[in-house]
Amino acid sequence: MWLVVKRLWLGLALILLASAGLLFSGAGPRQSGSARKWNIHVIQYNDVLDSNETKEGALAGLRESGLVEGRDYELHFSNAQGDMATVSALVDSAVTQNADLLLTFSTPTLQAAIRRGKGTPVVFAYVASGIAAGAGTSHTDHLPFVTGVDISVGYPQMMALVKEYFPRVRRLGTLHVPAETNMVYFLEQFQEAASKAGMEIEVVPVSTATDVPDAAQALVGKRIDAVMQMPGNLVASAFGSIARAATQAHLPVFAFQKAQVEQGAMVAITREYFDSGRLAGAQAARVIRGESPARIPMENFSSTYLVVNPEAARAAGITLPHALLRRAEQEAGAHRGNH
Amino acid sequence: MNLLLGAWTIGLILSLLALGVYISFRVFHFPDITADGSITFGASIAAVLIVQGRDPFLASAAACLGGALAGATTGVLHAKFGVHKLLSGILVMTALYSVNLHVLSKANVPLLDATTVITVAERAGARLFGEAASFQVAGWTVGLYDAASLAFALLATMLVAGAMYAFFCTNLGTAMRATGDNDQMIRALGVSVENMTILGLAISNALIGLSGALLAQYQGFADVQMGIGMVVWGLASVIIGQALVGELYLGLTIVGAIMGSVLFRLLVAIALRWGLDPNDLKLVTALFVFGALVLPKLLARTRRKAAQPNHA
Repeated sequence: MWLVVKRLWLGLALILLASAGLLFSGAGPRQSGSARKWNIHVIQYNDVLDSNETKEGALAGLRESGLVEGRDYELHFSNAQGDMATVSALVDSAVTQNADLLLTFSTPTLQAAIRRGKGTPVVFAYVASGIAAGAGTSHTDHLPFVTGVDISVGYPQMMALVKEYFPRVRRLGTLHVPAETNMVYFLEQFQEAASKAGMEIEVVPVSTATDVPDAAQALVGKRIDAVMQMPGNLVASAFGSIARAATQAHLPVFAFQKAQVEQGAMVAITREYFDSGRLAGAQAARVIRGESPARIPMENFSSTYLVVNPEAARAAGITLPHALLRRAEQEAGAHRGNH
Repeated sequence: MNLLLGAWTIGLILSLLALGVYISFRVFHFPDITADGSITFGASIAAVLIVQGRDPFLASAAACLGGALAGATTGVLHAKFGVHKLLSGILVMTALYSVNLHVLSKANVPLLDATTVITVAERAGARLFGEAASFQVAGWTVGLYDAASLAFALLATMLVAGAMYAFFCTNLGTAMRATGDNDQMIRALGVSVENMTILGLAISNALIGLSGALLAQYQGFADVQMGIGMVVWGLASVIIGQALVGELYLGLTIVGAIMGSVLFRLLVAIALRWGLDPNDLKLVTALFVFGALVLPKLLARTRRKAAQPNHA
């Protein structure tokens, strides 16, 4: 028996020490009254461009609402760095620190906030579908403490554009990452929009960034008329190799993310992650001003604008129609005006 | 308090993963990477069955079976086809990725208002201690759900660890441990090393599948990417445990693996509680683990130094 105790004491002591450290580091008493400062915990799942842009938008939305950081609210940031087992601990940590509002980005963090947040108000963004994530059954009928913004992709706009300016394009190709919740959801929408427009889709699956160059070659080898890449985390970071394969095959490249236009996409109908975040920030501000999240409908952010890259098109031997360039100029001007 | 209970609960749930890794890595000296796939496999099976309205305990048992199947496949690849240990694990883990996508039929299945083992435990707790959603322990408010999760995870870990200890004391279990230590000797005694390896990996991954099933039910979702890097954390727990309790006694090493897992999650929680720059999270975690590893050695050295004058 003595031997067992002797062998275990160090481990037990360390565990006790760590537990006590956690227990006594709980936050002080919650401030009460209407003048209290709101503790907003910003919880991200991973560090990717779109998620960060959405977050910046949300912070801008909060500032634009007239609330002042430091006076009306304080911000705390955390990021699970892609580790699923840490996601719950991030939410627990926020609750322990008396979080008044959880601002979550991406699906896993939203789900953990719902499950572990003990009814703390949650505003989410950077989620393809709040309904698919389990936050509600419709945009108005949702969990009473949750609201937020989900983002849809401009497939219908894109299909109309292709029909108008590239009438010969019939078969579209895209890479697909079945492991990304958002992409699975996007693919359904993509297929629906394509079949409505009388087009076909070729899909090549990838699972890691290193697969992307080979998969892109396989895709352009599939007798497609154009590459139309769905948005997603993995393909966003490896888009350059998709564009290269398509350019070599002299295929037009359509995309849905603005950053990809700089990486070789010729035409993009882009969602503005920043603006979708701004909308979520405005919702958060309404919650801070005393509205119940139950009464704030989840919003679907669908506004898009057109961006073109004539040089990339020229590299592939494609001339973009003049009317398309003019339209892009107008929409970009209008978009700049919004900011 | 929430954070503490949450860290303990996840630590205990992942200690089942650590125990699984303990069997493959410590008992068989088999660096089994299947874990990354089988933990997700367990989570997927349990989540899908629960969403269909099946009993959560049955679903967890099914997750166990699924894990065992995955482990046995790795064992067969290695023992019957002579595939390298690491590669057989990598192959099964890679294949499981597609299998998991098929099981889940999408990348993420939410379990937000389903009946899970945890909600069953919560209801049992409510019947025992009254309906209050929270109660006071020495001045701290404890949510019933958190307490029930922790109690359930503790119970499950104790049951599994006890059963594992009992199993490794049986003839079969002793033969299994001997297989890992000296396969030539055990072959000379007429035991099939191949079958032992397959059975051992099946048990190992059954525990890992169970761990995944409980993790999904606790977190409220199963996600096809949830297994990434898990085998590393399992290994870390086993090795921390070994550093803490040594490696001589079977019972102690089992307890050590559990302690390692709990300690590891507590350290992560402390790192989070400090509210440091999110980019530093993993660096700080690594530093903590390093500290937990070298501390026993440092202590032993200072003790030896203190003891030396007496011997001189």
